[in-house]
Amino acid sequence: MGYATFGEVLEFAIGRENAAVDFYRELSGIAAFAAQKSTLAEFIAMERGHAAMLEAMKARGTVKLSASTAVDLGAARRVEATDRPPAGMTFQDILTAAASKEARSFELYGRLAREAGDPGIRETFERLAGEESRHRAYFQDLYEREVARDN
Amino acid sequence: MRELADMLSGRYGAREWHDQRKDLSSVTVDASKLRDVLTWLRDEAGYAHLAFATAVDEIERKVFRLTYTVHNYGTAHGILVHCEIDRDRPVMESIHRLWGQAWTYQREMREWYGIDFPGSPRVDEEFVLEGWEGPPMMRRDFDSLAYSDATYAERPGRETRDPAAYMKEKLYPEADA
Amino acid sequence: MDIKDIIAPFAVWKRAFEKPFTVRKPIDERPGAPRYRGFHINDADTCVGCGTCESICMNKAIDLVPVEGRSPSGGDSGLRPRVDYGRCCWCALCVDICPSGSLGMSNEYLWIDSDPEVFRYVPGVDPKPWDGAELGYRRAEGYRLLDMERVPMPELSHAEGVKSFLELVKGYSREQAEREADRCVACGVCVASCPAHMDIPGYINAVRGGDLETGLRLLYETNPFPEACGRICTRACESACAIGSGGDPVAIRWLKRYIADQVELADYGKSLPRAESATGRKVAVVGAGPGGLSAAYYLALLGHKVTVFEKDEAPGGMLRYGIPEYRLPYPALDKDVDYIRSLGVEIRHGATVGKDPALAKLREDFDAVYLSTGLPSAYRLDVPGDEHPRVLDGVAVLAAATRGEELGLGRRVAVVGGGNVAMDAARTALRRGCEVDIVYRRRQVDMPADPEEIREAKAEGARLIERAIPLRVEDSGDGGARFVWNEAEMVQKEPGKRPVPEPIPGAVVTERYDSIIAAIGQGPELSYITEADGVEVRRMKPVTDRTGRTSVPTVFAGGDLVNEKKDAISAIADGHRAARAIDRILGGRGD
Repeated sequence: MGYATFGEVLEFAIGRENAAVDFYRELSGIAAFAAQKSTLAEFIAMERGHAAMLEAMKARGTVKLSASTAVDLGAARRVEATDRPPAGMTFQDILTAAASKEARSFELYGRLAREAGDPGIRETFERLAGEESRHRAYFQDLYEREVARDN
Repeated sequence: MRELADMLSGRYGAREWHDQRKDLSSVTVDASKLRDVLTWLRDEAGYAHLAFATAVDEIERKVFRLTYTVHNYGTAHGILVHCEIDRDRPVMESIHRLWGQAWTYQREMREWYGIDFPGSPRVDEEFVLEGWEGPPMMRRDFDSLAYSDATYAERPGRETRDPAAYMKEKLYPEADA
Repeated sequence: MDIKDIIAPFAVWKRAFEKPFTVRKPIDERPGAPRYRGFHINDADTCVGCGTCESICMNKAIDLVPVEGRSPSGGDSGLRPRVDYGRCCWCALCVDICPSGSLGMSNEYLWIDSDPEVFRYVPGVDPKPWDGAELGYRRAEGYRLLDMERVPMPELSHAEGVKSFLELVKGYSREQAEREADRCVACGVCVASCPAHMDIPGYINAVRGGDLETGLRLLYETNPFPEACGRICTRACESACAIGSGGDPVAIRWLKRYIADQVELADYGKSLPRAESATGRKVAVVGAGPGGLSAAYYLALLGHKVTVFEKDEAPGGMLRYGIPEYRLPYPALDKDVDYIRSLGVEIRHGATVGKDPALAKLREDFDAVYLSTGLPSAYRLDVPGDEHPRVLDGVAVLAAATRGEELGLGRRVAVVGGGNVAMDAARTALRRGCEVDIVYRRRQVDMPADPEEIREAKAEGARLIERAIPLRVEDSGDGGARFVWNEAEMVQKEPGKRPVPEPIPGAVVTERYDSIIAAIGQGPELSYITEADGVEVRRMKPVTDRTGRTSVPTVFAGGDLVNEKKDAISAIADGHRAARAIDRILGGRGD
């Protein structure tokens, strides 16, 4: 899959946001107490907002992707299981997982933007990367304020 | 200068000689000796000029401290001659016959501190306070606020705020809610 | 007639074109003397609106008034002095006493206007021609009517202090306390800064007058922990102190301590209010820290039966298990707690809410519940290897020290973090004979810890390693751990935000330690709130209104768990506020 339409790119992005929703849902499933669940519910709402935004952007156009990026596309649909927090996760655990997930999304969208030939599509990816970067900053800020107060 | 100090102390019991500056010394004498001291300084020691005379209300010690400044043009040296009088009997010998202009300072002290100088010309006339009816206003127990409140009408528009109350109103008005 | 008589009148003509010695009339310029006391000037940015000028003015010529564009904040009331020249007698006492030194006088004395209303203005705010005048009266150098230096507090020397857990600060004598109290100008600017809004000028005045019973009563109106707060309060009041605008702020904290230290516990009842008659209502408080016990005290005063549930074996929460005894000796804390207990407050120790009893059970058995469970556990370092057995939880180390346990820290200890927990852990380790490095990501000035604590930790021998970003922890193979960090430089990334440490490429440092104490921050323990309880929690904090009420009308929460300041006095204030709100839902007036 060396080529993708603009629609497919958006599909991909939407899929990715939905995967994030699933990621937090999954965490919520193993959450032991109400406070963890409510924190995750808030993050789920954020990701849902992203997906909705992308749905609204669905449009025409094509994008040419390199082979390696196309492979990434497939891989990225799955959420990395490596730093999944434990059941007794603290606020720190949740925020760390969320921030690193956003960081990976940011990198991926950035790469897609660089490879996209079509200016319109590049712009879309750049916007997405920007969104993810803001997301990550939000989590990091929350981490600074609520977790690492003395750090 | 030492010589002068010794002379004053020997003749008039002057004390506390102090050289404040190269050109200015101070000394304290009994009020009863003041006139003699000033006369001697004027006629024998070259301090021909009376530069200034005033008083300080030392209410804690119940005295008025009077200060006469005399100057020697020959040596460009001045002396502050201090003496004290009872605050409850504020009467001092006039020196207007030594220096004509002394009556002006005495009239000022009469008006501002309520110190009398019997025989001093026009000593009971108004000096700068026209129509003043209150107590001598440079006395430390003169309550300027009470005098103002009793004498003048308050101009409308005055209001003040207490810092703590104002900060509460602005920053945490709900505290008593 | 002599020829001279004829020539003489003409002789003076030779001076006709010289500069005259006389002054031309009318005289236009009559400048005041350089130090003449003319119309007031005020540097409105330096002025703190304390009103000391108003207090000293013997003619009541000065009012404190709100001015456009200034609102109260921190140590500034937002008010500024307005001078009424119908009353001013130009004595300049206001200039001489001004704590901040903002007030002065120009040498301008001529001002003619037919409107009498204009002779009343706010210097430095209402523009005047003499604003910024160089000449005029200023307080003479070195001449102060106020005592700008704090009465020094007797303390153990650092060399002596680090040898034991003896209290470092010895406390003021009566003479010292009264002298220090005498420095206060009673402006009250500090009151807003205190989270509990204590009547600071009131109790300082009581110290000055030697009336400690009144002092104690004033303290307890807003704070039932005067012994503790008199020692360890974060004292936002002192940062706001008007005297601090031009010298050392008044030692408000030490004066509070002085009052509590001087009155025997047995005599407290003489000055403090008795509890109102029993209402028959019951309130459960979760957590016997300062916040929970503050709520308990005020609830008990209002006649409610209070039961406090505490997981630990002794009361006081972080005051006992977080603050070392050299800063807050246990007998002082016990005195505060014992007085609260004497009002009939029952503290059940070893009761972990969530396990036994459940929160649901408390909600059932009591008319209201107050949650004040704080932030009991340290967050981990969040670097690879941070689960190494030699990486210890700073809060747990302090608690173990309180319990008198063997800490087993070894010889070389790294404390990671820059808050008070880090400083306390470092100083505790020093007292156990360790060599201590405090490793901090930013610079000393960025540390959230009390500057006094940082200074003392260093003076007692801790080495501060700044700008060190933890990278990982490795096993050293000999029972210790290797701590790896990256040296950093501070970069101002966004204007207005605090600078961020950026790792310097390649500047990686490895040090071996016997123990690494993590003190980067603390988190809540909220597993006791179940979904069935219905208490809304957002970002690991119960959601409350300003009285502390959660989404469940009979459940309230406060203290470190909820507020932003996360210090004892804020928790105490929260407890008091919640107690009043709880009283209202139980049918009381809430006062």
